[in-house]
Amino acid sequence: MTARFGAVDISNGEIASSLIKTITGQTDLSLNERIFMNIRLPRAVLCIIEGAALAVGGVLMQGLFRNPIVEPGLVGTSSGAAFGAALYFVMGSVLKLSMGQWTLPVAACAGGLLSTGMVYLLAPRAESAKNSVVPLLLTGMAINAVFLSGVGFLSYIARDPQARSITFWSLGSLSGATWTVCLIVGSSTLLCCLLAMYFARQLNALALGEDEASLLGVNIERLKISVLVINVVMVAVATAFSGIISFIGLIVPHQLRILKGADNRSLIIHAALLGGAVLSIADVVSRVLLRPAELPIGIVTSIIGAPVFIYLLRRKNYYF
Amino acid sequence: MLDDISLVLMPGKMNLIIGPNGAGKSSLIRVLSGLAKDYTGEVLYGDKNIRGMKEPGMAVIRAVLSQNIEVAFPMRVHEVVMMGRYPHFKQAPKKSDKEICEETMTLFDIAGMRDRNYMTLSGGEKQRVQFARVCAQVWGADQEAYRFLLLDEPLSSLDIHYQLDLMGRISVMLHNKRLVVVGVIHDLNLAIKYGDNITLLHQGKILDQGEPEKVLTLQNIKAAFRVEPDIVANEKDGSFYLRF
Repeated sequence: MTARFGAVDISNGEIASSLIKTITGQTDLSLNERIFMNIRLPRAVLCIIEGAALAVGGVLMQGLFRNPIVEPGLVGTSSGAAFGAALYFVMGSVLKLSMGQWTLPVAACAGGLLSTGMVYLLAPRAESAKNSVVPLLLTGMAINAVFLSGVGFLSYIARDPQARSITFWSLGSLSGATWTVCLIVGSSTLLCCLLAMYFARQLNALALGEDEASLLGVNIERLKISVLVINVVMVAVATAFSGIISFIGLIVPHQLRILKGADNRSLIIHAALLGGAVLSIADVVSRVLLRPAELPIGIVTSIIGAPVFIYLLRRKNYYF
Repeated sequence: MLDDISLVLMPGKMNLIIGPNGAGKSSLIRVLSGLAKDYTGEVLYGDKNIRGMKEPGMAVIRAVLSQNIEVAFPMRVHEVVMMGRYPHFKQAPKKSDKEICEETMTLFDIAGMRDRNYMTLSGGEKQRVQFARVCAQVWGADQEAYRFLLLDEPLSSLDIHYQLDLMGRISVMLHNKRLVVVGVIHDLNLAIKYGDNITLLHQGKILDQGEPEKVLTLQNIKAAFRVEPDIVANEKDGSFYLRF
């Protein structure tokens, strides 16, 4: 449905016919039909996958850090992934590392794991869950600053086209969607979501506190590291191909907790669905608002997301 | 912190640990529950040394009610109670798990608030929910194995009605001859009223242990708590109480 709008409007009839033609193996597609099949549809699919990855990442992060106002972006994952990706853009040919299509996501994953790991290890641990947020977020801010300045530096020494890539990338954009990309991000997201479901119940127990969860039979260290790795990989791969998109991981889980409670199993499933839907809407806005140009989707989510975030913070809220 | 501790805690008896602040009561509970691992000596559940046991195995036979439990997210009361059964099922709760949760919720008088948001409850209500959860974890200890229930200052946020109510209910649970209950409490009169085996801790050591009459003497209380109560005979049940 969202594939209809954009720089070029495609009618429903053309959508239907392009699908039929592709399925039946014909190659005489009109321009609009080609746009649909090769650009719009993969983009729509990628939107859903990305939205799911970011939203589920938010659920996992909140469960892990036992706090509802963390999201992958705030604890370093996105900036680390950005740094990894920028490193690939700028230095990739110099360092001669290549795994084909997989190099970019792997670089982003490495960056994301590094940055999130640093936040996790360096953040001072406070006794209660409530008090531990502020030090965590501050550490996240510091690590974000480090990695984003790394990205800045790479932009600075980069040649123009690379610099422009980096800039565009840090604002978030889904214009690079191809079916291959969908496959990569889709498979990683699906795998990570399935693994996350396995750990969901243990994450529920973690809400009582580390000691309590341990007394209920949870192996805390293994849980923390597993969830962290799953989370970072999922978000980093998604970020590698879409750039930094903020707030989905924060607001979607938050709304769902209010609506559906804190059982992680149901949260993961619903977050995947709602996240996909929300990002798709944002994508339509980004394509339509300034047409025929395109607004980077990260800007759309930030413009809408930041005020919502502040509003949520200010509500009389029993978390704080 | 703890020095030269030697304790035997029998099932079916109300074992209570008392002592002044800083005496090491919470540390002792942590050692007994297996949470603290850096000690010399052994802790045996029945005849099994718990040092080698893994968390899932322990979670099935022992539950601990800790002092301050902070639930990070809003949850329904029945969801919190169901967590007590987590060690007993893999992915989804069985019918028996749900029934056990119902029973413990009824036992602690919280069945009426099963759908309420845990975070909106008062301190005492939250405490009762945690009680229900912890009891659900070790429910059904009658058949074969021993089960162990450790309570670290469980009465702290309860009003006098529920303090007496809960001590009464735990006494009823003790009819189960395979359940070992150990509790830390501050109120010395409650210890006299309900305790069968009292351990008085002072500065990390056991000052005295045994029945209330033996342990709660003026000399012991003065040494440990630095107060001098009157020991008054209680004509109603032949025991005694402390008047401060």
